[in-house]
Amino acid sequence: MNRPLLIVSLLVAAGLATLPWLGSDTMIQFGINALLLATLAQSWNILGGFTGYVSFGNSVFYGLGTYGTAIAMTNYNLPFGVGLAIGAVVAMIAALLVGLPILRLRGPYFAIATLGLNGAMMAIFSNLPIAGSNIGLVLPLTRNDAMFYELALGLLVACSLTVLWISRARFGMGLIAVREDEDAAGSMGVNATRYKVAALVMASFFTAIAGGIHAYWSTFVDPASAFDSTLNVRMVISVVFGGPGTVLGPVIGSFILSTVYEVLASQISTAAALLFGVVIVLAVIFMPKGLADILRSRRNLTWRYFIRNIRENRL
Amino acid sequence: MTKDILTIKGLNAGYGAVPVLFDLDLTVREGEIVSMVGSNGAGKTTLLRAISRIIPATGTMTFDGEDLLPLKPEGAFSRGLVQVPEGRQLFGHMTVEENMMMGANRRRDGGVAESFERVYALFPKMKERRRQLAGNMSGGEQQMCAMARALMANPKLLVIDEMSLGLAPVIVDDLLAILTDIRAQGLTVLLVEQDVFAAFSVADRAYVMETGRIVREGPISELANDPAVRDAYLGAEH
Repeated sequence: MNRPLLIVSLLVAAGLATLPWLGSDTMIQFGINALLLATLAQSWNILGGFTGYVSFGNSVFYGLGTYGTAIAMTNYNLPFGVGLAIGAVVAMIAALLVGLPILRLRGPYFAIATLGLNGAMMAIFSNLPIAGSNIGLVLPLTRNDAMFYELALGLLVACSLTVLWISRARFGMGLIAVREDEDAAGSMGVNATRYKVAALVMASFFTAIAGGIHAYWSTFVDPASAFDSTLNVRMVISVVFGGPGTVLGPVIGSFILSTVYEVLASQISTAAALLFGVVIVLAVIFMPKGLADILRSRRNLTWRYFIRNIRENRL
Repeated sequence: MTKDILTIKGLNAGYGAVPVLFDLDLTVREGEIVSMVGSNGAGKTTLLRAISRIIPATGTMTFDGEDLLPLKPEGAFSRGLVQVPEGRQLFGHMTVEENMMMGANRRRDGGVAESFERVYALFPKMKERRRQLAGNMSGGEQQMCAMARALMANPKLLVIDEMSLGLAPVIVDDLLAILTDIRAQGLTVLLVEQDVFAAFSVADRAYVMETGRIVREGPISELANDPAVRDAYLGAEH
């Protein structure tokens, strides 16, 4: 990402920050959801985009952040900030404990191992009295959408700046080396497991904070919404749509998908999910490297680009 | 120039319960090219894995005055023990220049730009191809790129595993000439080879390995005239 693009991005972020004073309530609520999803996608990008490891366990960190905040605020009457911190720390410890064994697995085996985590966590939290078991927890009500909006925006900016740093740092080079060829990375002195675990822990931090913000905003958490595996799928889709391993791709991708989904849902309600699926299938066929690849060079924007992608996909 | 850079004494190593290397002694002195030859299954690659600290080993291994045994692979790498792995193992979807950047990824000193110049001087072809994807190049160019990448780590000892593997003899000759240039810059090389002709044409000393043991060692002039070595590896003339 070059300097002009960075300046434009920061200006856009500053522009978005004014939305609570300009937009309607519906706009603000849509904005909070879109910003949180973009943060989740951007966090998923840290491991999934840079190392190519597809994680279905990020919704676990989201759930831990959600419950960390909810339990701290309802059971112990702690302030919101402390709740967020507790959720983030718990999620990071979980990422470390989970990452150390299963990030030694490669490729699809890692994805399979993470698939089970979400279900296990949901079962555990359904039986934890402190977490309200199956019923869930109700958080103190705060009607301040503008605050949640700014928090979500701030988190997305922080997460994106982290990804920007990764894309330029030696750490990011190591992650990309792992994606390109893990054995070769090893022979270049990259401790692949350590790099991957560090990436997962960073991702878990932002994911958990996003979960905590959402919990306080929606004022209610239960196991099914906290450990929602479809949320994880949406993170993956947003990143793949936008461009894995890029700084702006996941953000733009998730904004566009959020908007498409919202428009479809308001126009045709029930069939929205179906059409959403069609949009994703078309995107994967015609631009498998994501939006970022198209935006990077405008020369690519010819029919040849799309034909080449179809041919490479052997469709 | 007689300082030992790598000293191995009484090395035993293997995979789990299966021993592969037995009581192995090896010394590499600064500024020389030492080659390790042997047929398939002699234990050459196992030796390299033990040296790069990928598999556990017993005995003593000293690298540049420091005990090598307690180090992790990345620790050995950052101290200047750098491998050019068998089969190149390049990052195929990255350009030549990016591959070379990866070699320098653990360096903290500011000499990376200077290293680029030095390595491009050794491999002018890599400078021409620096924007090309490593995976799209010929086998010989890929081997050059792998060596260039390893040199970017500013190694004290360059360990090359099967440099000639799958390459045309003409290309192997080019690479051997570059090895001589590398030595002229004061670098030390441990060349592990099956192609004994190639290895002997460039090395100062050599070790011959069979079933996990060193069976012959000495200067090339001696080994090349050793009847046993001639029979087994160089082809007898009688």
